[in-house]
Amino acid sequence: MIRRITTQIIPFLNLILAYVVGIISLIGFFTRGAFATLGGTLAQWVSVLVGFALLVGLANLVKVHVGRIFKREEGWLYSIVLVGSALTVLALGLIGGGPGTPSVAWAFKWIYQPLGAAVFSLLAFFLTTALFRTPRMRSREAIVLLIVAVIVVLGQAPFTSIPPLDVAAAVKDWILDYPALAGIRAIILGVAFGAIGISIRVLLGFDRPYLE
Amino acid sequence: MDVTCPNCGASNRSTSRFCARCGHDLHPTQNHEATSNNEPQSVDLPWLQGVQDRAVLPTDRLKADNLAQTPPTPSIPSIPFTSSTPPTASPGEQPATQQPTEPATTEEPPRTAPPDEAPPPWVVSILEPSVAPPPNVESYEPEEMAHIMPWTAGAPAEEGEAQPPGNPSLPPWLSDITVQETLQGSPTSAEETLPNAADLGLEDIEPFTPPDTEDEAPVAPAPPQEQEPHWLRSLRPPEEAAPQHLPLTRQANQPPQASSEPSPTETLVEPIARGLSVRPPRAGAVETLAALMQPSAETARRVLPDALVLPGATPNAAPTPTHVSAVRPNAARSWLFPDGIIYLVILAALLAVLIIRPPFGNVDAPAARGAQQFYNAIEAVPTNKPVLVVYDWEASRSAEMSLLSEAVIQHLMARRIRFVTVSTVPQGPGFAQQTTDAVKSSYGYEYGRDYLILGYLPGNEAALTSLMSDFNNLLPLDYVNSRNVSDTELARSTKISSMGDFSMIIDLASEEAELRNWIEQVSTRTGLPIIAAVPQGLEPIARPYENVPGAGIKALISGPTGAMQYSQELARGRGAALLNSDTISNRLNTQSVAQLLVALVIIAALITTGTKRALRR
Repeated sequence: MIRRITTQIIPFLNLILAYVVGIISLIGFFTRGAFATLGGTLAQWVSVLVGFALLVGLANLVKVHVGRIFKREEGWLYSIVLVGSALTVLALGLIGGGPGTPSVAWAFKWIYQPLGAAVFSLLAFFLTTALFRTPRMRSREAIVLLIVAVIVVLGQAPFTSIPPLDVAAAVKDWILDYPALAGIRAIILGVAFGAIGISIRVLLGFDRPYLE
Repeated sequence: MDVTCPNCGASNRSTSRFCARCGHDLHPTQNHEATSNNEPQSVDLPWLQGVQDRAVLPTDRLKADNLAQTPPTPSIPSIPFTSSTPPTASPGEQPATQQPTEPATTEEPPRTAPPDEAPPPWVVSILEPSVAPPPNVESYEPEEMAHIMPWTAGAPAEEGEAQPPGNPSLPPWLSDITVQETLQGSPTSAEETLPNAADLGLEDIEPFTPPDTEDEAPVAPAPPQEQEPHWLRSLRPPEEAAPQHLPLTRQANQPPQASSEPSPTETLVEPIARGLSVRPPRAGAVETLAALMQPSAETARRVLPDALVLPGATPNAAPTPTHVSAVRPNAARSWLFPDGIIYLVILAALLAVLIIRPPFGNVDAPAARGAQQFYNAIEAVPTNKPVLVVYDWEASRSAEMSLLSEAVIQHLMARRIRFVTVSTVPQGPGFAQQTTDAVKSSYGYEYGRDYLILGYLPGNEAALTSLMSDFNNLLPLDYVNSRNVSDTELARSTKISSMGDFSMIIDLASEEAELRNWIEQVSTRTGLPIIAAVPQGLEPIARPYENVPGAGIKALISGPTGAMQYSQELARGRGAALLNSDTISNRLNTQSVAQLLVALVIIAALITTGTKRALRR
């Protein structure tokens, strides 16, 4: 009996639950009233669950890296930095009385933000060398990509506002207005249709990601 | 109808073959039956037997030679795969297949195949290259063929000169090697796999040059040993030298060390090191292609680590130890060209811009489409309703987004519009606090009375849906003071209990997903106008949402140029001092130089590649 419950009844209930919640959310999106309120409540549960998931993730992160520190595994010094910085910011927030306290804001402004920007700025170097290597692919698409990139990069540069360099800006605008816009719209529509198809499959039970 | 896994009890779809949880076979009987049904009843295909003979016979002979220390060159029997008789070994040879040495007591019926059963074409191409259809050379460009096999691009044979049998465009020793078939039969061609090789510094490797035709028999097909090219003969130790076990990998200036167990590579190359005869590359084999791509000995010493260079790899040269010190300058050079040079030039140029400050940015701001529209949209906002400002950008985009967000907040404060910020990105509230703190003192704004910073809202689409239904309960505490929002002066003076209580949404987003969520989940359902400020790289992706009838972005600005022009509009229209004019000017200068450098690098790459291709032609 227990085996039947675990193998048949519970999966069936899961399927029914997913179907009902999906239908309520779908109807609530297009209507107002009870379905919209119920859908909003269900969505609020999602937010609460995601918040708890963040806490669980933090706990798991600390657990994994503390274990790595005690076992002196490879990269344990980095684990010290990670755990130490996480706990420090957490302590600053708890002691100060919230995430917006001056100490946390100071750490955010002078530590987190410069580090994030510095990591992202490395992309400029890697991107440039990648562009230099692209012609080695010896494909026509790569050549077209590079030529368009030169036009758009030069067209977006501030000094191209001075005539006669503004021709590059005009060409860049044409590329962005017509070929690029058409391509991006096609991609967005394709993604939307794909999402609709996947949603229908989940609602009808063909795909059951919640069971995997 | 679901299928229950007999191993773990999980429920699976009836169409599943294996359990989604544990991977157990759900239909073992069916699978077995299907497998048994798919198996051929017998393997008595003569062409398949021929392939097996060709594959097994040299190996067996090689083992026998290894034991006897006498390396005779086996002759591969011809395989009559057009007849139905099984293949027979040539006289004097041990057949590869297990032949009964004495009459078997339990005789099996002779395996015969239907006479009309022809081998597939790919088998014919392996067994009989001359019978195989000619390769489709037209699928390769002439310069590519000239790069792979330069001798094919040479002058045509003179009249009256005897041509060796086979393909006249190939040297005699290579006449039966079908490299094109190998290339075309492979799903990943050499052109697709070469970029990695280029990264390793193999770009400078010259293509393999065939040996001079003067050293080879011009007309008659040479015996197998004479067909070996120089590079293959160089791998064989001198005949007078006694066969001895040579170390396959070694360190410079380090004697060979005995190993108890041979490594896999030693096992593979052991016959070569022991002085056994080496067969020439088989027709259409992968090793043929690898041999064609072999660098010259000098290049190999320059590129490859010393431990990987086999002794005696140089033709007609004694094994000489190469030193690691000869590799180090090349490693520095490979780092320097071209990546290091590009890095250094970009770094030097950007530092020079920050120090010298050339006047690119002091000119009028370049045309940024949408800046005027964005300014007009905020000008049209009624002051009796607060504005919802969405901080959905991360630290990686702070260089661009901080300028835009400060200009937007400055405009709102200049108009005395109250606003509330919310974020679906964890870093968002921090940036909201940072931006408003920088601007509020200039306009006498007070937190809690004129603006509020609400916290992070996890859940993406679901969070926005719940925000639509219950604004107050979802974010009950503010971010700065962790107080109840309903206790603030702003909440008491203005109703902010639902999305309909706001007059506009200003989305400061650095990613397309966040921007799309606000358009799809909120703007379409509430009809609130939404304007967006995004990084310059996101502008092409955000533009399809611009001016969509019904719901969409009403105005869009992007990047430092957008921030610059918007700030100038703000200075002209509201008389507000440009808060970050120097910062924006410096960033525009840096951006100009960086974009110019990137364009120059691309142009240099195009010119370099074009010149190389022209020289190859």
